[in-house]
Amino acid sequence: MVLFLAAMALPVALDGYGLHILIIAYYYALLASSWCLLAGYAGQFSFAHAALAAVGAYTSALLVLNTDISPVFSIPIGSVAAAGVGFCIGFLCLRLQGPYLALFTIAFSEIFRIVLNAEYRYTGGNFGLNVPPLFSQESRILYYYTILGILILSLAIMHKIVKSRLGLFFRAVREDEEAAATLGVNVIKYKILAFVITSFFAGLAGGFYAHYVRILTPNIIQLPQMGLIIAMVVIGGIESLAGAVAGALILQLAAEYLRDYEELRWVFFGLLLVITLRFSQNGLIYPIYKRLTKKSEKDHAESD
Amino acid sequence: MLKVTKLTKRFGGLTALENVSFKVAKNEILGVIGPNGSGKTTLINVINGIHKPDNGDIFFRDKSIGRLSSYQIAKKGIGRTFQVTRIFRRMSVMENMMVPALSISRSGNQEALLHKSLGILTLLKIVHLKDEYGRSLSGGQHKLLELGRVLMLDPDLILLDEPFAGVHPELKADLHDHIRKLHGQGKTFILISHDMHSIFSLSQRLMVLSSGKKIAHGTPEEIKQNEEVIEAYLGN
Repeated sequence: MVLFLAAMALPVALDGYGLHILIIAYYYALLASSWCLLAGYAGQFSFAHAALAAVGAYTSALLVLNTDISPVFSIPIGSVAAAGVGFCIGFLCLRLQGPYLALFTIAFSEIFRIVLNAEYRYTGGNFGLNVPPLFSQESRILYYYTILGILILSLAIMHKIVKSRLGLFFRAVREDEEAAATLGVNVIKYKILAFVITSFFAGLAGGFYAHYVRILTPNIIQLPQMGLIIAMVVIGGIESLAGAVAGALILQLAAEYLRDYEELRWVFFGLLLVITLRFSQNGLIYPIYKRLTKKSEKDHAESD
Repeated sequence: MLKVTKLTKRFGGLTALENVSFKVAKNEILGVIGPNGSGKTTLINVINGIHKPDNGDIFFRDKSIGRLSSYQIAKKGIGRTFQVTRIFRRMSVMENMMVPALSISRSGNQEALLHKSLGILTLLKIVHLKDEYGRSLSGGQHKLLELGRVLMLDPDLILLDEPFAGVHPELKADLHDHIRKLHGQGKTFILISHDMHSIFSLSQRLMVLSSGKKIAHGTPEEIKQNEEVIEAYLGN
């Protein structure tokens, strides 16, 4: 609640640049949390998430540019398109696990990036595609509250999924597909569903990004982008939506504040990632959060 | 209840099961014995849908299940445990129990299902571990949890693959009791075990496999006397 109120009040205290950093951080938070649902909960370690965001981004942008449709409608359509591509990836990857799934999704992302480059007549290629804005007013505050609203709503839906029967089955599939099947779980259905649902959110994030930044290049699919999303989730906590969001916000803000160190900051994040994987597999932030909430529960119980 | 006809399963050049036919009556305990590599686990894997038969068919309550997927077979009322336990390690004991509970009852009353799983965990004497992660349980507790999970499916036929392997004698006695109690409640079992004392005392009928072929079947007494079985498996 405190965090929510702080997020609502922040625009008052920040200038345009600060707001811009937060808007991009929320965009990453949506990507990171949806990838956390896919990889952390459902166990599908996909590298195609950034590419799926690009599917949403380019679909929405091209729709607005080629038809009279408003971004308000084209962004959801882009999300559905991303979900459709997610369905295809899920279906094709049914029998792929671990490194094979990772390789397949890397290959998909690279092919998609090359296609976007090659088809420059439609996509603008590396020169970029000029995308119409979401709002006619030049107000960052509108964008800020829009992405904050999208993020909160998406997180609420993903949280509901995690706590539901669906979330339980996702985790069972992650743990042991064969054992889950012998307990009545339709593994194929839930694996594909995990891809479809999380791709929708990736597409949503991408769609918003396109109409906010207003220039799209295939660089949003580059492998380091995906690496950044993974680092955010792993450092935040791979089996925690809140951890993934915290990881995204912290890394994005840190990346901005460490801008003077240029490429060195990525080395720092890489080191942090390695340390996390070695010593704390559920992230650095989630265990702290858990300890704090446990402590406050204990204090509460003692004061009772 | 279960009829297996001329079942054959090959893995490349290896014939794991060859023309195996047998029946299991309702509320029967059928023991399956045989040397290592004789096809016992493959038999369970095929009945349970993990592997599809190359030839032959399986009928459960007179309906063919040979081409169904594992999850469909589970929903029809066939549960199984694994030789090496496969519990969900990063999920709590209660969550392990709720997976089968929710998979078979879409609109199930969550409260009732929680109550049911607590009842089963109490019966299995692991209710105090309900909030523990699967990975923090001992090997014996894994066996009990796996049995508990299967019971949440409310299956009519339970396939137990080496339930007594690596289990403490006290726990083994408990497992015997559980199987007898469930049998008393009308459950049917196919039991695979190398533990001769257990399988001979629990089973009403035994089937012997060797190199994927059924070489004998009969009551435990008959099997003990069977020359071919003595030669292939039991020894003197």
